[in-house]
Amino acid sequence: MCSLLHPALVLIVAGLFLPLLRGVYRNLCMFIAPVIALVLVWTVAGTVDCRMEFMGIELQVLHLDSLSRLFVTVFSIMAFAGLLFAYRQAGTVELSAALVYAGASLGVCLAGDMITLFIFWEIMALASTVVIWSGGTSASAAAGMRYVIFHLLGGVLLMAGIIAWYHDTGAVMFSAMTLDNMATWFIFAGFMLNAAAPPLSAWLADAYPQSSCSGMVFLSAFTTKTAVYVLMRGFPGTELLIIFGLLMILYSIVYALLENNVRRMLAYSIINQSGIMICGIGIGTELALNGAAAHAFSSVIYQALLIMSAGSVVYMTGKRNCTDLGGLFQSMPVTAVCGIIGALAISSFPLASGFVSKSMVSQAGVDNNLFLVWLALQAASAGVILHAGLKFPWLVFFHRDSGLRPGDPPMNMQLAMILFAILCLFIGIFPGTLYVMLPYAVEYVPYTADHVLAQLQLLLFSGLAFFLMLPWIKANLGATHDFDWIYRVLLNRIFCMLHNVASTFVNRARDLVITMLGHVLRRLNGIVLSGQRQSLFLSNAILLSVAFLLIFLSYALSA
Amino acid sequence: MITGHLPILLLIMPLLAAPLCVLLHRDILSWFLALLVFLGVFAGAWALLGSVLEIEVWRYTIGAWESPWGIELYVDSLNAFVLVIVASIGAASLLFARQSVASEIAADRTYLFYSALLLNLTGLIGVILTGDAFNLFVFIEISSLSGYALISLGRKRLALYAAYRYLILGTVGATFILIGVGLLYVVTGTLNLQDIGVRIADVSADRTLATAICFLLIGLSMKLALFPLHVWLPAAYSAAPSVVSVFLAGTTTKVFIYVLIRYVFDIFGLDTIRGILPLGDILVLLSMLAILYGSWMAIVRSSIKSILAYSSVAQIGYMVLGIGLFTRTGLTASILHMFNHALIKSALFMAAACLIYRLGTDRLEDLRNSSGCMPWTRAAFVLGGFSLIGVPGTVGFLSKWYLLQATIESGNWPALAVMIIGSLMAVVYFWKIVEAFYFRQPAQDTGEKMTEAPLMMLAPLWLLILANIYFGIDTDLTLDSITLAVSSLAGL
Amino acid sequence: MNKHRLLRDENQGRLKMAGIALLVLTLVAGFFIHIHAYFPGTGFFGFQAVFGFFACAGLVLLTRLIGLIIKRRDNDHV
Repeated sequence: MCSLLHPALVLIVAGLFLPLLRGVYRNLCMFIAPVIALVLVWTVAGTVDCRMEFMGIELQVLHLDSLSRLFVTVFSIMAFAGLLFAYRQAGTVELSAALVYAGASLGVCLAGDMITLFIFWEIMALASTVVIWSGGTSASAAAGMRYVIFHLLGGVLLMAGIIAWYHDTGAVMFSAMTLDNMATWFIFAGFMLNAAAPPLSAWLADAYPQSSCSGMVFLSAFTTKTAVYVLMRGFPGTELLIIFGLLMILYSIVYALLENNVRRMLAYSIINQSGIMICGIGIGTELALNGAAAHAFSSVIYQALLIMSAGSVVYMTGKRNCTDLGGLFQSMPVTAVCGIIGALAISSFPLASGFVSKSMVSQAGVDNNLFLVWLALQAASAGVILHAGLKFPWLVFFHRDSGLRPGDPPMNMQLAMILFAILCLFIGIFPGTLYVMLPYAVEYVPYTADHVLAQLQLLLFSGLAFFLMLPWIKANLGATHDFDWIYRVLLNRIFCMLHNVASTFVNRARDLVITMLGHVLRRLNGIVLSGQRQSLFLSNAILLSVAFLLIFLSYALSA
Repeated sequence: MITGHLPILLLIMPLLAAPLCVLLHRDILSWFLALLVFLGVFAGAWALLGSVLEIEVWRYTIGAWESPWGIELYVDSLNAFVLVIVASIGAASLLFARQSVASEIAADRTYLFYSALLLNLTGLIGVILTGDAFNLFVFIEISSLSGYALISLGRKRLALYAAYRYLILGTVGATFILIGVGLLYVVTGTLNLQDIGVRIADVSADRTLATAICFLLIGLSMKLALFPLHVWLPAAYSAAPSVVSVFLAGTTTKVFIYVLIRYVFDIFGLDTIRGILPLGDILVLLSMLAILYGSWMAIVRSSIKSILAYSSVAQIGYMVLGIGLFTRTGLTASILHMFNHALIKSALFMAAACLIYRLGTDRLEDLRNSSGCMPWTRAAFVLGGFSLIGVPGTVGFLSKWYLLQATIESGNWPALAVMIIGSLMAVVYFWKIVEAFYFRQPAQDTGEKMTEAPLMMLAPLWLLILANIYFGIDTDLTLDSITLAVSSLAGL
Repeated sequence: MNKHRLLRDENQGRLKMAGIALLVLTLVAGFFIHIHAYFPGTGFFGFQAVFGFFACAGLVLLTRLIGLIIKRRDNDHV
């Protein structure tokens, strides 16, 4: 058995028991679970293994090394801050589901084999769906349904891949794979769906903004980042990932630019940041993987911070669209400052966390002499200005005064934001604290005069372009068709059409045959059947003939 | 001494209890007698499985007339396992039955209901245990005739129509089976199943044999409701009294799938079958159609029992798919899914029965108006649904795992695609129900608050739900017996 | 109601001036700190600034074009 209590179980059990508790016990149970998980993974040095048997296959349910420890750490912190942000406003169902969701994501990160991984993967999908449903509107119910179908599709793909892998190799241990057979392609597809890679990406921007203000904070952190983690474990150095990463970056910038809904825009920025990590995984050198891991760590924090800030705005004003907001810095100073710090972090401004992590990926591109990749990453840095980096804080907190004067949100929400804002700056100023946790040794130095200056030039002049083109950007704001149009509208129409055609055809054919047979019967025997009896009798007769036909056919086949 | 006659005791107990039920006449007494018998069968079935797992095969000769002249009961781990499925579902249904039956069936007919249920059980046990081809037909008729009677007791007028339809098709199916058995007798000169299996190897593939096999297979397909011969099933399951749906959904079709497995793998053997017709391909094709068609119809239906019934059509597709692949893993998956699906579907039908007991309806539209009440029933339904769509930690996951493994192993990509699509469609129809449970605001406030279903109904329901989870985690018992059963079948 | 300090007209002008000064400052700093050119053709003076500006401008234009195709009316589906 196991020398270490499984951190994932701590959170999941806490989540399941939460609805039974009241008052201070409830809060205690909620906040202590992530802390326990954090303590557990940091009190054990080195790697830990824990095995058990299921379906006659040996599983390694707990495999702790530096990479999994990094992700467990950030997920635990995230769970804690998310709960702090949510616990006064969200319902018990949402909190409970969020704990299970966080626990399952820890389970994925700690899984040593793919069956354990898959089990936690599915729990994650279901728990996150409940988080979306907790949005409580009919739109969130529908979006949650589309979300869960998509993720169960990903689950089936992943499962098929794992089984095929097991069939090919006789093992289920989770280690690096190459995309050279069907098994790994299926696994890859399952992973990429959770990473929101196009064209399997629409679920994210479709579902996340329909969750509650606090729900989206949890959603932003776990699903995509666990996908990044498993890709890092399973497919490091797969060149296809570079292409997917760049596609995600470009696609999300375009959509985020067009988007008027603040939370939808931030949803696209999640895809954007995941794209950078996936690019890093595709490059696959030690520096690139370190960069991707570090960026995952810092992006969980600033992404959540941005969404908390946007969530506070939506919570306090009830308005979701950029065009309805503006000038809020006057009455929501804490939210504005925290939002700005998050924006600085996401745009990799020096002294904020994004700067020290994203530049590692760029540097890896340079080291591998990938000019186009480097250029695209630079463009992505500039492009962040166009959504979360400048568009979000500018249009929401400054720009035109909307006349809205909401206060800052309740204290617990403020505290959560302040905590994460401090973390963003702390990592940005003391990058060493993050670098020691990375899977490989780090020699990279982010703060050199020329690097800082280059980044400042890039960002400030992108900002200039933003301000100069603001009228164009605003004219473009609105809602968009994403890939979800294919399955929400197109497939739906096709299915309805097919169903109508098929049922009309079948009914016509049946009526025709029944009338004809009725005629024949009347002629032959003078039997007259009417109504239901006729259709019952004749449909049975038809079925009988089908059976005989089958017999005749197989008889003919056998001859 | 008694343990030495366990197989025949299992058969005789319900057979004798059936007329006794009629004599007792009082509804509570007849229920109690039936319950005792079902529990006895339950215990006996597990004991039988235990002993068969040790001695492998138990050939019980009736009246000490040696086979092939005498009639024997033939028990190996395969049919002992199927018997355990039937007995367990039966016991759970009987525990559940009392209040549901009292509310749906007129009090002066209740004793007849239990009597018919006992006869049905007798027939099913006979089909499972008998080692004689003609007796198999007789027991099929016993179970079917009592089945028609049970279904016709349903609340709605539709029940009569459904029972009549099932009667016609079921009789046709049984007749086909009888014709097949007759032709087999002509070819081999014996009616003992194992003996047929031995002698058929010497028979060259001639037309009589081919015809016999075709008649048998099509008759069985009708009985086990394989698409496109499934038409009796949806109406029968949705119109039958709730308890009957619970019992039939978990037992009847499984028993006939067992008979199919017995004939194809044990009696005929794959070599004989392959020489006559491409049965594997036909079964895989039909089961793929069954999965798609059943799931689609389940999506467009609007009452719970009807959705569950069509879902059964699809799930039968999964079981037959495993058989049609003609591989060890496929067969394992198929038998495992028989067990798992019995647990899943009976639990879901029980939850539906609880809703009908309190609300008097299972239409989704009406359920929307009563959201918020009966939390335990709804929670049980959701857990059962999780098992249906194969969430890890439930038995449904194991089925999905082994079925996917079987399809991937045999490299049957169309089947794999159909399975993936089918599992997503299952999510859709399951969701339709969950949505009605939890995510709709009541259209009008009825004022009265519905109470939870009585404990006597909730307890067996949750027992099955817990079994869904227990057997989803502890796989030793099921997989061990199935592995033994599969390895005992010839030709794989 | 008093306008917030940052929104008063005289301060608006100052903010703009400060912004422009910042831009010029980062450019001028380029004379003193040599920005390392990782790839040929990217080493000229102010490359990062020019690239940043035109990358953004390009993305906005691209979006404008793509927007013609993928924009929808509100509540077009659901």
